[in-house]
Amino acid sequence: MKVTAVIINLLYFLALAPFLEGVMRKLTARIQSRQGPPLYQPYLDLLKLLGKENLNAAGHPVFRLAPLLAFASILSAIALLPLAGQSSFLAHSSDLMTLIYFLTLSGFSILIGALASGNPFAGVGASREMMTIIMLEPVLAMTLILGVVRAGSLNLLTATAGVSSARGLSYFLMMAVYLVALQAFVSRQPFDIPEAEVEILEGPYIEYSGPNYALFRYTLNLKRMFYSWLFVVGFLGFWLPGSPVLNLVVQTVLILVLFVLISVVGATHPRFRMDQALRFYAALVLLSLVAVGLGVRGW
Amino acid sequence: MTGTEALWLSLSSLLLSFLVTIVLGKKVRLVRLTGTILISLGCFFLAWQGVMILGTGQPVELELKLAGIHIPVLIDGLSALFLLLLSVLALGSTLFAYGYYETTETKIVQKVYLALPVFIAGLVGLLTVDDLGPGFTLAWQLMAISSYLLVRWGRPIKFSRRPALVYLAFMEMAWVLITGSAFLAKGYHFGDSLAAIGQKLSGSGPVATAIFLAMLLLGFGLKTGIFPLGQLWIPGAYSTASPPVSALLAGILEKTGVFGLIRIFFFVARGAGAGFNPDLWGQVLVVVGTLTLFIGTVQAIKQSDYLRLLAYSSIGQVGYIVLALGSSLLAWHSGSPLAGIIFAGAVYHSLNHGIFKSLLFLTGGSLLHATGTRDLNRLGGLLAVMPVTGVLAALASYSISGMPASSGFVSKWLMIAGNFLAGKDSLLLTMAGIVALFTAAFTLACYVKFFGLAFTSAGASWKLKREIREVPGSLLVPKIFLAVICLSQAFLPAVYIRVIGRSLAATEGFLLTGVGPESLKTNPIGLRIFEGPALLAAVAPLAMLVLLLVLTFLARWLRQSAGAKEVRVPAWLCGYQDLNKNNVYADRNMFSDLKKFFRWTGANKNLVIDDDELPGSVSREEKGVIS
Repeated sequence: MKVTAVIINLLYFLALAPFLEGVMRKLTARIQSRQGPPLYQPYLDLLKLLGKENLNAAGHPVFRLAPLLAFASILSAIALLPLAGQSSFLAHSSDLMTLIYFLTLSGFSILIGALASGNPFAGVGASREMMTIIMLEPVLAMTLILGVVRAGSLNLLTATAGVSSARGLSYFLMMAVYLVALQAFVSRQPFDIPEAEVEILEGPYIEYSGPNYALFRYTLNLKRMFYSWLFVVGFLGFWLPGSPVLNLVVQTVLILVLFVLISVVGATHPRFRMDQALRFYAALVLLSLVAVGLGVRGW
Repeated sequence: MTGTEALWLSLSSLLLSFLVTIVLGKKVRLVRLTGTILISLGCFFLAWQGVMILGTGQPVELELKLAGIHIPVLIDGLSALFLLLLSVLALGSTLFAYGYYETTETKIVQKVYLALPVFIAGLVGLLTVDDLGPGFTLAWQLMAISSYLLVRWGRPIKFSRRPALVYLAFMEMAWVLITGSAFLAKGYHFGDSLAAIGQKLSGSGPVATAIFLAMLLLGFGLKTGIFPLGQLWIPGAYSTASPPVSALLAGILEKTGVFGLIRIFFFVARGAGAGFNPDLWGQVLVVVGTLTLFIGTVQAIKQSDYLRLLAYSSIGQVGYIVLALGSSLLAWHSGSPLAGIIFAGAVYHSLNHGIFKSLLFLTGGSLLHATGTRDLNRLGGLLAVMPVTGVLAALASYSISGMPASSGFVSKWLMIAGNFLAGKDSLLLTMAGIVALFTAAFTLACYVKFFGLAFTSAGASWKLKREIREVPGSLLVPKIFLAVICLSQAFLPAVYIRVIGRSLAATEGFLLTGVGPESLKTNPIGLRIFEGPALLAAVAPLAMLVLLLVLTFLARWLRQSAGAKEVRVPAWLCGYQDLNKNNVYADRNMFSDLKKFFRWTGANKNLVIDDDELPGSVSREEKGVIS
């Protein structure tokens, strides 16, 4: 029974994540006056990739291990989430810091896979990806810490509920910062610098193809959904209904709305340069520090 | 065999090793062999003594009389714990040194084996003497002079003279500060025990106490490497000494500074009574620790010399410990039971960092042994030729980055989580916790760079003239030994926390009273590491590992589900040419925008000179980096 709860967590994310990418692709295409692929295209893409040859440019075991670890660690993070207002079965041996480190582990796997491939484009991509992780992880951490400061516990359920438990100045400031950072969390324009197709050819993923690439693609989809989910549950959590089923439905609708927003911003903005983005992220980090400070003061 | 006898046997083995080296003279093969055996024997007795004291829970108090001078000796639970760490690290380094010095010239080897036992004996002394007078001076000078010589003999003299002298100068400065501080206690008699100094301090007023503590913070801080003092000597000394010695410097020498800070702020200060302001000193330690951990780690990212990278990162990791000591004081002052948890985290991190940083330095030693270069720009793709070293390096890098299911995760979690919860009403603690968490990502970046560019990626086969092979078994065994301990620290945190609790229970005069094994079990943080039966308590990190493994197998199944075949292909470079030494991604390009952004943190000079190069002939500049 308890283990099924974890499985429901995983299934919810696994089933929905590619669909959200479909929404994103369709909307982007429409904004750019194209027809766009059908909404279920990402599922087909994943299936197609799984059937292709697995090209290995490195010969390292690390190159082969990286996609597995990236996919497994993002799923581990998802398994810990209090979906639909229910504490996870794993909550007693994990907490907020486990979650943050699992997310970092997922990013780290992509990097190490990229470096293992030996391709200089992948190297550039890995370097950019790591810089993004360094500068953005604190924004995510501080959002949750705002909840910790309010709730006085590192348990994920209470901490996420804590974020929106008092809606003062700190809450609105943090929400604004998170919304801007979201575009970078999901690596869409103007912050898709680590991948930057036209510039460094998908950076970290350049040497990956077939099933390995499918795992990375899936990881990216799951990550995007995770960050949107966190916004909905963290900042709009007070507004979600109590019944688990209804809660899940409302959550899903809100995540969809958020994806519409991400797509619109992504389709209408050009990409930043890395040094510009770093300054931008630094401002976000400082603002979220201010928000936590206000939170400690009780505002 | 009692604890005291074991200590004497240990010191005698070290002395014997020193004497035998003199007698054997130029027969270096024999010198290495007997030195290794005798020092290992010394480590064994030392460990025995530590286990005896932790086992019986009885501190040992002695009064040594040397030529009419009385030296008080106190070996309590805390000393025993650090002595255990010392014995493990000294054993690892000594075994490693046996293989490492095989190809070194005769004169150097002879001298190293004279200095090494003296150095270890000095460290034993620092952890056992109970004064700031003659005994402390003896131990400190043994430690300082022998390690100065070891640093000096670590590289050709043209590279080592300056860093070694700087190192000695700062060690002597620290000695002056520490021994001088005690004279501020009213009625101080040169050679008083620490407890007596604490009591005399209570009569000397708050100003004298404050200056006393400030001098000791500077003195021990110099040794621990707090910002900005650590930056003055640590990078030079650690990258100059040969790696088995650096492993000891970073693993335990630094920790004796931590030990000193604990002794002062959690023992002596208690005796000072009203003159000691825990709120003020807690804040000072928190600010200093936070600065140290942030700046040290950011500076580490900028290094292409992997030994310097490890050195700067040591400064960063020690910052975590100092921060935790400060927040523990603050939490205790506000009556929070979190004080004990944060303190246990600090001690645990000292043990963890000792092990994985030694392992990393021994990895550095293996790289130096196998490739002859200390420049990450010239390495790459070593995992294929040095698989065992590579896997062990991955474990150590993973642990120091504090990723889940690693030893670094447990101790950083204790410290940072404690900080956030204790900081519920304190802006300072919350901010310090955030910086600490932020810095964890920098640490990760640092070790992604270290592991990624040395072991994965590509390059060494083109950029180095020699053929690279895996290091011999004598260099692998000590690393495997440390790696096993590192793994046990990750998966048996409950056992280690219990041992820490036990050692505190066997320590008299501890400031945070009641922080024995019992109170460590009641844990106000969400995670139940300490609660419940020992078996259950030990499995929390294991549960996370199992989760990760199960999901990895799921991913593997998914990858195989359509029966895809793997095909080996060359790297694709837009159709231009094959991968070669002109187009691989070199270390200096890594994080170039970030390095520019954090230019203000210093240590930007990034010129690596190998032993066989002339300082003037090297001109690998930072121009034209790819970002």
